[in-house]
Amino acid sequence: MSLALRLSQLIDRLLAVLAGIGGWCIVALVLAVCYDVVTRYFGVPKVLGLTSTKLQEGQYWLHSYAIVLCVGFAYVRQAHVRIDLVRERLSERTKYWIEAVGCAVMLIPYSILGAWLSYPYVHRSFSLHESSRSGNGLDEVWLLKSGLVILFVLTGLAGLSVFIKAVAGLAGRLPAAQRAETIDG
Amino acid sequence: MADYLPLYMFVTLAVLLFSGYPVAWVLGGVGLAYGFVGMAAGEFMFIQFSTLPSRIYGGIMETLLLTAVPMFVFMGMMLEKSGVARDLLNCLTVLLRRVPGGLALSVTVMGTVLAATTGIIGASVVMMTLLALPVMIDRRYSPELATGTIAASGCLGILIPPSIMLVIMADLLSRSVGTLFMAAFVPGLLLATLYAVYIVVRCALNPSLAPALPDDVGPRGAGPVAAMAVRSFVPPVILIVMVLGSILGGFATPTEAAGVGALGATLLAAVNLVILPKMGVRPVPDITGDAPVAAATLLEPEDGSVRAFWGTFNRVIEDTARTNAMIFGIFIGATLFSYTFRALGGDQLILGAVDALGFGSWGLLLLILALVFVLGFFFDWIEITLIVLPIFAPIITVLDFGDHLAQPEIAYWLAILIAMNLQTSFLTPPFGFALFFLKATAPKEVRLQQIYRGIVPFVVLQLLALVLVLVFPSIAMWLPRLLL
Repeated sequence: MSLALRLSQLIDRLLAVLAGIGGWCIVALVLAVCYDVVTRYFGVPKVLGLTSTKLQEGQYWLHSYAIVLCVGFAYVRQAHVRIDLVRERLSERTKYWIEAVGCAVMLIPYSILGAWLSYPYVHRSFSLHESSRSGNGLDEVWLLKSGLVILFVLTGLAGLSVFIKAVAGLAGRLPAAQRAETIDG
Repeated sequence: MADYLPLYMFVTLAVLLFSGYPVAWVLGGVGLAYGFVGMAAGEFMFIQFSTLPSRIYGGIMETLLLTAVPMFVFMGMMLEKSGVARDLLNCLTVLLRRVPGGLALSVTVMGTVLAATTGIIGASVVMMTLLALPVMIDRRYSPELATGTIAASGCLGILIPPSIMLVIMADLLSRSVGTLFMAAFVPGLLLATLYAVYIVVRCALNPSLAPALPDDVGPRGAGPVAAMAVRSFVPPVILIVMVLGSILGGFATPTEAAGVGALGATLLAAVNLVILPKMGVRPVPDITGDAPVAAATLLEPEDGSVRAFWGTFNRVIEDTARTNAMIFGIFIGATLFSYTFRALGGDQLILGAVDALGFGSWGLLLLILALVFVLGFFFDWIEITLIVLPIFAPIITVLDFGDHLAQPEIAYWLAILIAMNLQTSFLTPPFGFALFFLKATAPKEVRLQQIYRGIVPFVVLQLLALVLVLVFPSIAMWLPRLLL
């Protein structure tokens, strides 16, 4: 159990680092939009061969990675929406049960399916050297599509981490400090 | 039996959601499970799952419009966490001190101006409650009036552009966000005006509900008051007007406006937290009684202010990333759910049921609104728009209101009606979503009954506005018709 809990902590730390990068993707997104706006509306020439098309595609690339890198992390930090109406009245034990079963039958299978189906999708894009639809946009679209695999691997890992903590909670072996991040208070 | 699979699917979703497991994963899990159930019933093939990646890719990742969502969230978080929003409330309170119910009015104005920033109902109601409720109670405002004003103003954010909900609705309905924003503008202002008129009239008739600000609080005289307004009122208002104006005027796409708005909010935060303290300008006198975010660091502007700004900046990034992940997590889960739902024949089932009911377009419209109203008791707009809207989409195309409204305008009008309806639902006791958040954040002595009593007049105003827009669609469509 203590080994499993250590794995769970390791996963959480990995997710936190990646989510930090995802957060900065949003900053980069804001800057990319502003740069595009300023250069386009004020006629300032763009540097490094950037075009508006490239910048705009870069914007949704950045947003995609902001999502991909943060969705799993949001779960281990309990930022995902729950319907609290009944939940408030449940015992702590029931909450651990719900979390463990939910991870085992919903989140983890869903993540496995997603990652498993996304891999061939990315692979096809890679082997075809798929490039942007607009012709003068960003090439190597597989880099963006890889985000799908990363997304589902990370949500699966988050599910595994919470599953471990919920089981530990049921066994009475979950450190009190981690209680809030498993069943959200 | 197999014909009703989509129905069972929906019931399963509803039941499992109440387990309290995150909505995003329940959606994905139910979508997956019913794929397998469908396979057992011979209604679904495993190969159909393989469109999932391309649906997420095309529907979320590749959609430039949706990049506006995190940037609007960023803008709002920045204004809130840097203290710009708090200063704005302080300033409004001083500016409106001679008006009956000035503090309540300030809250309404702030809800209107910062609507941009507050797409998430829970978060916006909590923010407004923390900011305004303690001081209103301190100033001996009636708790009913105070809580009613805060809950109602906090919900304005889902209607008044640039509401994130409208961005997502436009995406789901494949309509123009700019046009939807325009359509929401007048109804939003109508609501804010109704609120303001109610507050002023009520407080003028019964001044004990809202005692005036004591004379010794806040700056006096034209000079200091003007200085305060220039510092705290004018910059955020200019920012919001620029963001909204550029979209409504057709100068910028919502994405561009959101990006510039986010940068603008960051600059305002930098001015507020770094530049003004360095210039030796004293912080805005705090009238709301809420401790200034950077109170300690403002005393030593040498390097503390930069650190305060950096800390705020990092917190904003982190919270924005999380909120964005929360929204798009549901988006991703709903992608699989609605795909399986449709593959099992959900669309035909709904259209068939609608046919069997024999309701006309008006009947259907009222049915949709009633359903959304009930769902609003339990779910936030994110779940409702992402789950329910795609299911209603086939119905929307068959609606026909003859001379009442032209066909291309129906989707916009309906989106506005749904938004106003949801607002009402969030405020309606005993379930109202906003009321729970308010109660959870409010000081202990505020009782739930007081909140319920306080909100009723606002619910009535809300229903009045809803009926007006229902009967006179031009209230919504006037501005788009004028500008386009």
